[in-house]
Amino acid sequence: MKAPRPHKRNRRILVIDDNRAIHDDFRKILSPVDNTPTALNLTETQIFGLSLTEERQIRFEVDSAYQGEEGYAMVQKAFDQGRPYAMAFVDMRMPPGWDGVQTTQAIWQVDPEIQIVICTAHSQYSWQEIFEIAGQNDRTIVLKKPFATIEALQLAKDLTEKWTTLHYNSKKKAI
Amino acid sequence: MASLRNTSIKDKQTLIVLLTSGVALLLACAAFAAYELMTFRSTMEQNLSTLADIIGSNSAAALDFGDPKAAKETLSALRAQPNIVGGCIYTAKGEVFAVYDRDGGTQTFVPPPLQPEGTHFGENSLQLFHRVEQNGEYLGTVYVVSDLDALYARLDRYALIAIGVFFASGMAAIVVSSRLQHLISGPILSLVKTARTVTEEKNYSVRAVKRGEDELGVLIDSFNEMLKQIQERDAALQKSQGELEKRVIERTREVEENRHLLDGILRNSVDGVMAYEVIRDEEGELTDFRFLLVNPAAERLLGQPSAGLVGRGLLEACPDIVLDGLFEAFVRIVETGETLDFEYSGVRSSIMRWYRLAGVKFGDGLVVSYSDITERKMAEERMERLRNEHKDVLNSVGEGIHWLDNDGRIKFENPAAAKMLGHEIAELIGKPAHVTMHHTKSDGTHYPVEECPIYATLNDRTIRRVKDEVFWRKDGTSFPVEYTCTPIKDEHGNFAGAVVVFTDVTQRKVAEKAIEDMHKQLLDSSREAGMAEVATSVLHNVGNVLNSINVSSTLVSDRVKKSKVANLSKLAALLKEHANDLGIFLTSDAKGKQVPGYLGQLAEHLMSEQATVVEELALLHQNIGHVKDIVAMQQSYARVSGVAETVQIVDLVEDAVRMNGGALQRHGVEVLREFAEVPPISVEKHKVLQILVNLVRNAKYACDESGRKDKLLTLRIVREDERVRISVTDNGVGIPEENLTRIFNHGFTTRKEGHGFGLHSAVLAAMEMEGSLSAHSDGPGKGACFTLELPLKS
Repeated sequence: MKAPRPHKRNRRILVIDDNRAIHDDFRKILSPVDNTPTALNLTETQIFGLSLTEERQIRFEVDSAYQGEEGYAMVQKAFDQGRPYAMAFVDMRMPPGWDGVQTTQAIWQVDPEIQIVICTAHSQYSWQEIFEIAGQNDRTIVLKKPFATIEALQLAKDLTEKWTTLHYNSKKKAI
Repeated sequence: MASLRNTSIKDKQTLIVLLTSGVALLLACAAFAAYELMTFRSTMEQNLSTLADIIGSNSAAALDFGDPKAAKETLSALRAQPNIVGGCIYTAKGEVFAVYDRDGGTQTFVPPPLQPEGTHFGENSLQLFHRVEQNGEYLGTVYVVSDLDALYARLDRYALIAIGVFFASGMAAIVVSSRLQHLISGPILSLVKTARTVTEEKNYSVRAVKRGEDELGVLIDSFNEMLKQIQERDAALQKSQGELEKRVIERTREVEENRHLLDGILRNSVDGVMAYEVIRDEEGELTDFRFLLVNPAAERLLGQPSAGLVGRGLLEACPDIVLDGLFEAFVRIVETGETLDFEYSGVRSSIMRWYRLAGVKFGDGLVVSYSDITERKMAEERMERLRNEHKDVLNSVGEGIHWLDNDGRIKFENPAAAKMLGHEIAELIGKPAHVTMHHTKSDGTHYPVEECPIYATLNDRTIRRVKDEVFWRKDGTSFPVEYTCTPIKDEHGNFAGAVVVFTDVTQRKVAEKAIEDMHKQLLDSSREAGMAEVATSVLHNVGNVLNSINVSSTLVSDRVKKSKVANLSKLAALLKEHANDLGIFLTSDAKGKQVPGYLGQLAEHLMSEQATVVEELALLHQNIGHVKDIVAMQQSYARVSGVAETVQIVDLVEDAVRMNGGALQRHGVEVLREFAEVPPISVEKHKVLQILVNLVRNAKYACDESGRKDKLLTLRIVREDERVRISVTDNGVGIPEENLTRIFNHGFTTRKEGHGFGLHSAVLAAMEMEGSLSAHSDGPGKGACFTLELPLKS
């Protein structure tokens, strides 16, 4: 794998959840469609001057998987292609297949660098149990549903950044 | 006698013969003389008696008549006998009647007083008293006394004859013996001569001449044999003496060589070698040791040349030796004779050095060898320190650690492990680990060693982490453990057993139990309030929907906040600014010219923005409705807890299917209904529903797990007498026979995410309603059938 310089940010995110509505939620937050026509903005600039430079929202590349097994396969594929995901949002409860913990453990077998956010609305597992099973480490964060959009967005931003930093640091060390 | 001993055998022999024959002759003569004497005396007595008798007879008349003259005449007849010295006759009254004296009146004879009849030998005389009787009448006594001259004359003659015979026979004996003694003394003398020759000339080849087969012949033979042996031995001795000399020469050379070798060794030895002799005072008390030998290595160790040490005392030459305690050791070697081999340390040239010292008693002294083992000692100390550090680490860790050899015997046990197991460390070393602490499973059944993960690690040499097992203490109690067994290799790369690191998880189990209990309590209370199972699914669904609501509302508010509507007021302000020359502004100003077009674009955008917001709000509304539905459905069952109501069983069954509807459809489970007509029954609705939801969901899971395509769920309602039976049958994974009763136990589950109280609470609920819940399965892979039986009238 070539290390692009300067570090290219990895903004690939995988959402694993059996509920389609949740996927839509994530897309709305992480990959919003800015449908403001460019012409309109240009005209505004000309009429009102440069006073209104809107900060442009970061857009993430969001992929979807509806079962743990499917998500695991996608992580493997992405890793093999050299385009690994920086992070994944994994639902805790995804009947009938793997639950969030099983999925996380499987994914880490393939790609140990991936950052995981376990999402849960209500579950038999307590937080402590989740940590115990998934391993007490700095690669897991639990996000409780319902979540605020800003929470999801911040997690996405911070964790992709973290992935990038760790990834290139470890490469530097390896060199 | 002494002189007799030294006379020659020849003389001795002659003497012996003479003495022997002399003594024999003497004895013969004496016997002969004695016999002759006695015979003669007896004859004399007889003669005298006869004489006295005659005299008595002849003088009887004279006595009778008292005629002394006649009596004297009678007595004078005694003159015929010259040896009669005298005689007398006594009257019956004892008076001398008549006397005869041979020598006539010379008074040589005096009549003695009268004595009774009898003979008496006196000195040089024989006296006889004889009674004179006539016709029985005592008349008187005759007394006659005779001298012994005749006797003596006879004895003299005998003596003469005896002496003559003595001499004659003596001469004859000398002659005969001198002739015969050659038979004995000849060979002896010859032997003596031979012996003298041997002694004087040391010539063992001469031999004595043998003359006969008697004892002397044997003696000579023995003597010759002896000579022969001596001759042979002498020859052998002569020979061996020659060899001995040769050997002595050789040995001397060897000794010389050895001494050179020893010198070489001592000179070149790395070990210091010293020899000492003991110095004693007048009382024999040991006071010091004198150096006898110091080799070069010892010179270096002592820091003094050999020449300066040999002959000097140890204490004088090396006074610090006492401080080292060596002097006492030397004394001990000398006094007890034991060999000492020990290590000691001393400071040399201000550096602490270690020596190994071996001392051996040697005569009245000792030989000591030193070697400098400082390097080795330091290496050992480093090793020891390292080992202790390792030991400290092993001893201080809280985890139990034991090291098993390839046979599963305990090779090492740290204190934490021993403490946990309630044993002394020493008790455990060498014990087979499995039977000592791992013999029984937590459920009390035997734990065969073949199933033991630790032994499996010893066999396949892979690391294992094990949870949920128990180890047994010495006192027979057990404790839950988690352990890791790791195979280890020795320094040669061979497998040297496995190390088991274990933790007593009792505390953690207790904590876990507390959490679990709390969790269960929460679930129990939620079940009491309504239906835990339903609640779980409801909360999950509500959570998800709420998430969408949240996202939608945030999105809408963001949209509205960022709306371009605000730009309208800006535009209005701009137009207001140019109110006076609006026409010109809109037609000729660079900015103003763009305003009409912008307004069109803005309107279009605002329309689309509005559409998005409306769409989002519709979704929001729909989701809120969704939540309401979920909550309403939950409440319809939760609210009526504990109250019996009359319901149609069919409705409850359908509700249960509906509540699992999504899942059943998603997983492609076909539902078959076989409902018989049953009257409405009075039951606690939520309890029945809880049971049925449980059963339907379990059936769905069972179908799912089987992985088959034709997943089928059959629901039956049958009336039997006064009871109604509702059965839920699936064609899923089935239930092994041993689990058929256990599935109703609290906490039993075969599903990973199951909590194991669904069926438990279901069976309790059925019992509360005086009904029953039973399970049937033909075995794994053959599906299962759960039947809820309820009374028609409660």
